[in-house]
Amino acid sequence: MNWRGVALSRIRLARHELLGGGHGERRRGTRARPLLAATLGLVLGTIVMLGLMVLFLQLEQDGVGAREASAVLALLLTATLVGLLAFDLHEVVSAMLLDSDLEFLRRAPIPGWALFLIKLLDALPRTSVLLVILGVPALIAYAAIFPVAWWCWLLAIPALGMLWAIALGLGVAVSVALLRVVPARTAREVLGLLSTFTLFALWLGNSFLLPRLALESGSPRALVEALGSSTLAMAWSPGAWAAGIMAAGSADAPVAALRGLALLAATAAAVLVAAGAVASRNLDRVQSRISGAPARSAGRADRATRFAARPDILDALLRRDLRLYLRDWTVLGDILVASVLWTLLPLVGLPILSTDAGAAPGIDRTLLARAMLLALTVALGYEIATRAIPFERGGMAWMRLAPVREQAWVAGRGVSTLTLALPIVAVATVAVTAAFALPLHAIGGTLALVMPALVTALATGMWTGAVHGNFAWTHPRAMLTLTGRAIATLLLLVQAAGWLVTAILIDQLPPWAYAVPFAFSILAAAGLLAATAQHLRRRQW
Amino acid sequence: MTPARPAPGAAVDAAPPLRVLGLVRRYGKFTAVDGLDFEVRSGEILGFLGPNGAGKTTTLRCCAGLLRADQGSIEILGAPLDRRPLVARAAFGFVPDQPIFYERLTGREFLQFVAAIYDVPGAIAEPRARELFLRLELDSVADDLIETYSHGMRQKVSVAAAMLHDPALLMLDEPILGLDPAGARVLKDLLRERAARGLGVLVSTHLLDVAERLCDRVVILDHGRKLAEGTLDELRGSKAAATLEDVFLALTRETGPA
Repeated sequence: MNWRGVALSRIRLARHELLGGGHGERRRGTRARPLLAATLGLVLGTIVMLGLMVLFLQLEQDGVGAREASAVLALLLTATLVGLLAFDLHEVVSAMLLDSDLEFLRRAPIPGWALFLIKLLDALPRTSVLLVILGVPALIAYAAIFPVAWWCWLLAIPALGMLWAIALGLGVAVSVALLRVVPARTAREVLGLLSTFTLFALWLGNSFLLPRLALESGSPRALVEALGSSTLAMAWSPGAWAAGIMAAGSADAPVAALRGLALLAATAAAVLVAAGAVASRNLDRVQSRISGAPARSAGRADRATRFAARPDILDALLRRDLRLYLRDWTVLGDILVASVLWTLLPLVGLPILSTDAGAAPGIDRTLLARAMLLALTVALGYEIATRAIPFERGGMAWMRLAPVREQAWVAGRGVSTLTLALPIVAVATVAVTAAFALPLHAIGGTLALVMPALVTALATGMWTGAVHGNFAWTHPRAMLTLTGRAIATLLLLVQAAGWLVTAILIDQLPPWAYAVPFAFSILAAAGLLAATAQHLRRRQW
Repeated sequence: MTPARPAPGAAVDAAPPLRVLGLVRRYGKFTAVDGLDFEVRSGEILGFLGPNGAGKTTTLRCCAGLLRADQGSIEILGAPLDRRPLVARAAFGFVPDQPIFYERLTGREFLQFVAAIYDVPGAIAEPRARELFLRLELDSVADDLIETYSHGMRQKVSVAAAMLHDPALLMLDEPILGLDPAGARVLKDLLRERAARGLGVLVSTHLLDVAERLCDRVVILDHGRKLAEGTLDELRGSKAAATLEDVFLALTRETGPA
């Protein structure tokens, strides 16, 4: 095989993927926004780096040395590794099994392991975000507080690449083996669900465990000590080896650093060899299974459906969405799990606030309940509304073919999104207000904030989804482009902060002040939905 | 909420189902369609022929409103697509080269959805869908999810969806590809029946034998420009024995790369 030629062609492909190019991109109106994506990546990476620098600085001021602090770095790098598995594995599996060039590559005289390597490298641009916004900032933050020798960087960057290879190589091997025995659709859904539960576990660990370890004892050192107590597991994890390189760099001990790199390299090589072997044996068969049509009996649905006597676009959109959401249960499951997480978020923040304030009972129950419900409603804009438009995939083109106004279509999508969000908000409201035993007037005041927040969040989410939607999504958590995810996250933070401030201030204002959020939300939603319709009118298919 | 529908008599009856004047479509610096003029008359099947990359699909997508025209006008039954889009859209059906579906609806559910967005009452849509499913041999799989369909079945559902509201103009982009011989025959019959009822049909294809047997007139396109237009006899000119293939190859070679 002409490795140089293959490498050059893949570099060209990666360049087109990152920077956009070709008529097709322009035709579909999906212009790449490399500058915006790079800027957002840089901003997020900088925020993470500054946050971690504060953490390492606190550790250093608490008398923690470079070697001990590397346990925290190891935890962060392990989180990067797990995050790669949770959020990016689907990208590699898609590259491996669904990319448009697979038919061509499968017919070329390329051994299975080489095809595996080519597609793994193809997926690199799509799967390197976590390295940019978490892995690299963690290394820089550590080195800023515990200075390292210059040669350390020559080893640390390849070490990050090896972490990437270990995570995704391992994930691909398991996925290909899984796809060999279970139907493709089931496997994709299982992977999606695993990703959701991994997110759930990570979130629980990150939100409940770490703050308590670090802050309830009143000292960040407790975090290091807690991590030190699980020495064996931590010492034999790839994240710890990579962190060990930095610790060795800080102690100017190149031999120890090289030992860490050797361990990482050996593990990465072993994982890649194993994954290559699994792929070369099974990839062809799995690809054939996936490219074939699913078994017909799998999808038999209700025969009793009838044509509407008097057609109505809203009724049609609602019925269609109900069917699609119920049949795409990974999307629905993901929304429900995320709803629980977001509702609990302010509760998680409570121990941190109370420790800082020095008195736990000082928190106002009504304010906490409002914060929980506002967190949920704002998040539903991200979890449900940003997916509303890309969820339709290419089916959105019917909006341009049918004699229906774009505004009517978008309004219909808005109503169906609200229909999905309202029961979640209702259940959460009942649960939270009952748990906190809020009086009736407090419930009324809470709803007077929650409803406008919901309307604004849903409209904001729909606009984000229309402008930055990934209409070819393969994973329920990736219906936005990378840029879109960053923008949606920023919008979510801005809204959450705004509504929280409103919740704190509003009771100090006269009662008519409650009308202001309503008026604001109606105006904002109208403007955003009009912008969404306008964008979709301009979009080309 | 109901879809906006054209007012009765909104379309100009005398206007042809499709009239395209000076159509230009560019992708960056590349001009895919370059000043194209043609029309589909009532009761005719117009064949849209051209080699790969000639601009057939781009033209059809512009006519369907999926792509914006950079210059020129597109009128459907006299209604300009850019200024009276709802009237124009109600008057045509489109079968794209890659069918546009919701994969996790059944064929029947998809047609119910299409009937609703085109404002076709159940009393009309139901028997029409049943007949289309029957003729296209989809009745046994109408309640299966579309994601389980083969390429040919998807193509047939796409045809049924485009015909469900009985439009004055039907535009089809390479509709025969992927259909089995029986399916291709049924589709050709359906198109001829539509033409016989005075409706317009525009078919893009590069299968010359299909065009020769199916189309009343053809437009030959290359590099985004119209090379010729007319009935087969008109295109043959003095060479009565020439086939459409001969005419096509002679025309496209003249304009092809040196």
